Amino acid sequence: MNFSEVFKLSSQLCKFSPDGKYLASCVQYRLVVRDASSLQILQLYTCVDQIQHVEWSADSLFLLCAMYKRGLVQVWSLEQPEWHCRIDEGSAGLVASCWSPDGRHVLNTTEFHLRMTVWSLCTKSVSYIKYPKACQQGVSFSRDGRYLALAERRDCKDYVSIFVCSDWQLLRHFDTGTQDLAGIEWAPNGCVLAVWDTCLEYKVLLYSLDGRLLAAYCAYEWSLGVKAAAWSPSSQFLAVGSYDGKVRVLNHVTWKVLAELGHPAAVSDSRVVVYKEAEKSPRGSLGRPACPPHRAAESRYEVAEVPVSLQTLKPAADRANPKIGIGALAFSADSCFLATRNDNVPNAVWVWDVRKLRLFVVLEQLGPVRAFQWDPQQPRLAVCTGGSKVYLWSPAGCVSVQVPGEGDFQVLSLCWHSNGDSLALLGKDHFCLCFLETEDGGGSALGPPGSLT
Amino acid sequence: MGDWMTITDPESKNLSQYTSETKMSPSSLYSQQVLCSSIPLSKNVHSFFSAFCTEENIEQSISYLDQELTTFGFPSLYEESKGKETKRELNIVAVLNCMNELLILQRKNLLAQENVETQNLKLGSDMDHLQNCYAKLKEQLETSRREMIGLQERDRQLQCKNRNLHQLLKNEKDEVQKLQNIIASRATQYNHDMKRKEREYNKLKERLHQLVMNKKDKKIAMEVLNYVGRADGKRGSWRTGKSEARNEDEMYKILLNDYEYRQKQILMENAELKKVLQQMKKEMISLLSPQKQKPRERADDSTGTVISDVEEDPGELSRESMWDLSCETVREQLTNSIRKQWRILKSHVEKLDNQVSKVHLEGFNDEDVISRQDHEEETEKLELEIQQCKEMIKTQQQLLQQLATTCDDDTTSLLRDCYLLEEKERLKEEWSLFKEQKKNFEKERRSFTEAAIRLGLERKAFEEERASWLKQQFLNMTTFDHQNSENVRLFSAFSGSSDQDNLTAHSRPRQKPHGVSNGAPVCSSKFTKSLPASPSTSDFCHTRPCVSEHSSINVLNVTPEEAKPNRAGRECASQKWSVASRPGSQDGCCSGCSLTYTNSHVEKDDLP
Repeated sequence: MNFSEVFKLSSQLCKFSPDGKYLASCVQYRLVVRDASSLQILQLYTCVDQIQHVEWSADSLFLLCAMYKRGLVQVWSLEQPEWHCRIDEGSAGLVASCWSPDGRHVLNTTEFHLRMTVWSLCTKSVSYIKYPKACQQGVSFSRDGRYLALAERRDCKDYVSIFVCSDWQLLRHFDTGTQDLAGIEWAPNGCVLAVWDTCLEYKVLLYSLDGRLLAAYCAYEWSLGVKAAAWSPSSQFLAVGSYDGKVRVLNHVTWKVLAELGHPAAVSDSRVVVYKEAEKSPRGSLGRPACPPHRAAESRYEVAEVPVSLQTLKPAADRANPKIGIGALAFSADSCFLATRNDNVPNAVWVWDVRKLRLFVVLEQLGPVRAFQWDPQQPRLAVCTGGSKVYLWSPAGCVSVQVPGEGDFQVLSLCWHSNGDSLALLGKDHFCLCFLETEDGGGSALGPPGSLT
Repeated sequence: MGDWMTITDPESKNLSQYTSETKMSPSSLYSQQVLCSSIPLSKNVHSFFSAFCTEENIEQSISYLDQELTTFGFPSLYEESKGKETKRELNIVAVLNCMNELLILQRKNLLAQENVETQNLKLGSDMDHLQNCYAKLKEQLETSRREMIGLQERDRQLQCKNRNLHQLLKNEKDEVQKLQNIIASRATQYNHDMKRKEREYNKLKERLHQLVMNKKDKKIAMEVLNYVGRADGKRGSWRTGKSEARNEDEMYKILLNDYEYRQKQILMENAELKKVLQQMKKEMISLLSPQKQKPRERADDSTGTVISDVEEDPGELSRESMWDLSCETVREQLTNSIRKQWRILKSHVEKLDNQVSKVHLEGFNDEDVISRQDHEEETEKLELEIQQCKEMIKTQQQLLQQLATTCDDDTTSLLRDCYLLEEKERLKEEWSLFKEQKKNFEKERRSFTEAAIRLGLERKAFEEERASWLKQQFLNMTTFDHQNSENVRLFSAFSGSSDQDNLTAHSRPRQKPHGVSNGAPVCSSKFTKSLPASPSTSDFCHTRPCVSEHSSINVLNVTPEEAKPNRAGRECASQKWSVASRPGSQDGCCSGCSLTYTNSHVEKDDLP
């Protein structure tokens, strides 16, 4: 495992291009494009203000930089550095901007969600979509880039519109039986749309591409409901995490619950392996100075004896958005594993074996888990806790790696390169790349040892 | 009271006297008096009687006594007088008789008195005890009465409390109801307000929209250096009804494709399952058909169904193609026959199980034990013989050596020389004889070992024969198990790649290099034996330097996920091995068999 030097970064804006060749990062108002492997600067663009959002187009040819404060979007071309495009939303304001899957349209959401503007880079045409709903996840493109599902709110009722992305034609428009729709997401095969209601009511609806209601699911009533949902890459499962601290896995044939995965703070199943991060005691117990004082203590994983009880957080009941329930969940690329985080057990990541539908591994960190992401190529999970370490888990085991470099580099977020060979670690003002060599034949999941310092 | 009783047990007078003295009951006092008066009787006769009888009044006293005695029914003291006038004479014999009788009476009385005394004592103590008891009970009664009153009071209080609580509960319930109503009304109010607000908000939005958008806002614009081509290279198309229809078409195409894909998958799965089912059926039939050949053994009605099923077989080939066409027509038939055969198989297996256990209990043990005992005895005997022979040889050698050493003396040598030769010859003869004996012994030993080996071989052969027979039986069953496992794998394949395959693919190649490079074969072997977090693994981690921590953790962590399936697999293999080729111990063989039995049971149970 090798680490690059540390580069400057602002607002944690750092993205690999979809084709994996480039890495874009923002420093204040500058946009830097690097080669993803050599990290040489290829292009440097200067925007008019501090960049708040950056996004690659799907074909990795364009980059859009949004400056919400100014209501401005600037688009840059990688092929023609002199080419520029500037979209001004004017007094309407701007709260969100994204690419359409074809990489030739920019979708801007105006302030107060008045409308959505679809700007084309190919023609002068501008399309407007009225009444987009202001919610957690109101826009979803299907994986093949053909369709856009958009949550809308009209006359105090929730609707979903499905557009064809090629010509922005409305394909279907239907009202959902939700009280206050909170999120929508396409299944990876693009045929089923999952819709979930606000946290006040547990309701998951599944619509076919043609607008038919396939199934409605409600696990319980009178309590806070869905907090997060995720499709498996195989589209076979929909995992729904809720405020009761459980993940319910729905199957794609009957849309009934396959399994209820509880997240109790006490792990008692002896088949479950619990990796506990432990501070490594200073090596220099024989008088040798342990480690430089400015570096955080190193840590390693220990296999804890089950039964294990995990640290829990007592949520403040009188506050909104209480820290309970499953706030994050993600399937591995091969759909074999599901990683979840229970917000009132903030230090732990649960990894479930989807084939057996039971708990497989629990990682208990020393700090609260900030983010985790699966390797896009293999079942390998990267976790960060806001400390100076990055943690990797694969079925073969678990490692904790100290990020080298002077000063305290706090890893707040991370993102994988699309080939799974490198990992960008994002801090508050800096980022660095972590290269994971792979042996031929895919033998080692965690990379060879030795180069780690 | 009991103790007291034993003390006062009227066995010895002294004792009773003692106790009575100590107790000083009035009755005992009396008895003492009596005793006192009776004991010194003999001593102070004179002083005693002086008051009653003197020299002068002998006659009177005698007559008085006579009178007294006669009134008590004793015979008269005087002799029967012949005449009235004659003075009656004192009959000494009668006096003595009377005296004797009196004495006897006295003794009797004393005894009776004593008895009564002890009785009295006993009764007195009983009385005391009873009085005590009575007092105690009275006390108890009093306390319990008091307690009861207390409890009643408490009960009353509790009831009162209960009533209060009920009241409170009722109040609370009312409160809850009220609050619920309030909540409901608030919710409706809230919803209503929300709707109103949202409408207002929408209105505002609309207004804002009009204000912001409709005004020719020069700012809302896009500056582009030049328009770029579309990603697909085509030109944009106009939105027409045609394109709409095309979009619809496309959508349905996508949906159709998805459904087709799913259907194909399901069909494939179905076909696989059907194949498995058929194979299972076939194998069941083949497994059960040998039983048909010995119908005497299994004369139940189940054989009839087996035969009939088997008889149906010829037509099966032609039907197989039909099964591929549609499942529905044959599904019921297939499942029914499978079910039937499964039942037969189950009963058969159960019977076999019983047989095996019976055989194991009866025949096997006897044969085995006896032969082994024989063997052991024989070897013991032989060893003893050998030992004896060795001892003999040793003593003879010693003797020879002694002879040799004694020969050294020069003075004696001359003397001995004469018969040394003779002796030598004798010794030689003896020696040769001895050697022959030894050879014989050796031969005997060899022959015996050969015999033992032969015995072992024979047994092995027999064992093998038996094992093969059992194997035949169980292989049929294990092939059936294979079906099962295939089925299971198929099921898991449904939700991704097979679990075990994956695991082995991931972990096998990794473990090897680590085992070599880290020089930790001990560790890995330990892992295979023990479960995840054995302290040895953590120790191992500690000892490794930081640089290779990574790898050590790797090794460490490979184990938990991997060891289990591996172990299971090994166990399985060993079981099979024991069935197939482990003729050494019949016990092992049998246990192996039973293990496979149970395994097959378990796996079958797993079948959904």
